[in-house]
Amino acid sequence: MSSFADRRATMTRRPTAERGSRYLPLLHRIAGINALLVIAAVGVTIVVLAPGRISALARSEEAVVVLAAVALVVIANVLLLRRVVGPVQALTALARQVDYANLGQRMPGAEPTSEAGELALTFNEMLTRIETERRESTGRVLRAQEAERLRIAQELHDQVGQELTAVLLGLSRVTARVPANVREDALSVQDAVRHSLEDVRRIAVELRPEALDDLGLATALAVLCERFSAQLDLDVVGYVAHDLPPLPAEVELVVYRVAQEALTNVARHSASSRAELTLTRTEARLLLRVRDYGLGLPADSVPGTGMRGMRERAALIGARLAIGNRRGDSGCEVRLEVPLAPSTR
Amino acid sequence: MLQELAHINVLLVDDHPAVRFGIRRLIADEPDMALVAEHADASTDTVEVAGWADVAVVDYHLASRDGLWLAQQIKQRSDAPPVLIYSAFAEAHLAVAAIVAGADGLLPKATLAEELTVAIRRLASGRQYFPAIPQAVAATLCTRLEATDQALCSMLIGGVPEAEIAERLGLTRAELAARRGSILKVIAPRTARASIVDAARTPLDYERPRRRLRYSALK
Repeated sequence: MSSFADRRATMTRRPTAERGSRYLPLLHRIAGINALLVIAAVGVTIVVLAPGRISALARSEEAVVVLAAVALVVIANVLLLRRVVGPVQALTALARQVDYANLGQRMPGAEPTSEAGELALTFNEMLTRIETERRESTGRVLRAQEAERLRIAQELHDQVGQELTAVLLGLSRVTARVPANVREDALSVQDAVRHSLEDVRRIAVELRPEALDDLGLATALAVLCERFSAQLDLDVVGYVAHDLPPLPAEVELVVYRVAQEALTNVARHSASSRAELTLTRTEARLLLRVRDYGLGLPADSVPGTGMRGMRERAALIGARLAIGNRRGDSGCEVRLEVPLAPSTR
Repeated sequence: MLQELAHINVLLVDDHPAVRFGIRRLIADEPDMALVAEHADASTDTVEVAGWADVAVVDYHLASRDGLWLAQQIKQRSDAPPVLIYSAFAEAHLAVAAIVAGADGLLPKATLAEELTVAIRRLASGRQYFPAIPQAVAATLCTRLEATDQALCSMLIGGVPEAEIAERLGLTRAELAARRGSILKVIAPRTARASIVDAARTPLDYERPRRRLRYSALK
């Protein structure tokens, strides 16, 4: 499943620049045609308008002046054309860069004062439309996913968890009464059931962080760090600023999920024994950083489902996500920058 | 001989019949314990019945109100028994909320069988039974409170007796209870969760009928 998602990700992300251009650029074509026209016009002018004035063997000064004039016209033409064709090239360059990873890029000079400006304007409108639609559909999918997770977590807790608890209680009574020769077996069964109950609990908590629903982001992140430290061989130091503004539930959920995914990646891939999680704020934005001291990302890493998920969630709340190796140090860092709404600043 | 042992009267509150059955049998096996009442949900009746009990054993997740609400209500009585809360989610933040609610112990469900009787005896003898609370979790929870409540909260977590806290902060018993209630509003898991879950569940609620079918097929 993940390989399919990876492949799809690569397909959509590979820029078209790799095709290479097997055609003559527009600028060269128009400039070439214009140059030919100018040369032809000059030739015709000479032949038609002044057949008698110029001798069959043109004087060299005359030739120099004519050639210089033609060259001047061609150069001026190229320079002027460049201004006209420039927006098309800029548009192509921008279209190549448009990606889910860096949203919000727009063409400069988009004013309806020329056809190029009109084109830029339409292009920008199209980008906005696509981004809005994409954000809305991603939002719908993620909201549905969260609701489904909540439902499964609740079901796990209310049904499977309770039934396993009942089984465990019954088993412990049975274990106390069985003959000594089977007691060991009974105890190991009891152990297995206890582990299953622990697993059910863990899965339910991962599916839907109860602490986040109930107690807000700061506590949920503290509990998250605590859980990673307790369950895995990873020492997570968390720092959450005390002056966090009240955040919309959607923002809290995105920050929490990105932190969760980032720590999961550290635990799975980094081979690092410690990680740091910080959530701080500046005047205008919230900054989540998760860093480790492990291997770092391989140079040819392709973003997998987890990273795509982080990006999609970040885009949903207009946040910027950067994942990269730390300069001059070992390990990897995930940065999530969330712009704060003016009212919460 | 057995009659000479002082009985520990236990009140049990859990909404799941199979779990109640398991605990009932577990307590029946203990010579020094007896079940005085079993309730499937927390109500004012439950608070009334708690007066007969020596220890109240309460599931955190209940159908209408949660175990913390019940603990608070029981603790308003002058003859309040110790309250042991147990939950599948016995994480640190729930332990803090349980302490503030006035409960005397918190037990994760995975250890219910082995430790339940140990915990009940411990509470009956006037001691507490809580998991260790990590500093970071306690600290972030406390920062959510008003400055005056922060001191109260950390004293409660630190295990300072109620009488001493009341004296130090110059509060009456009723005032202290009210302050605990207002702290709980901030740090306790929300009881409104049930309605959120129901809303999320409605469009795709095919699990329950299917489960029932499976059971009838087994019979």
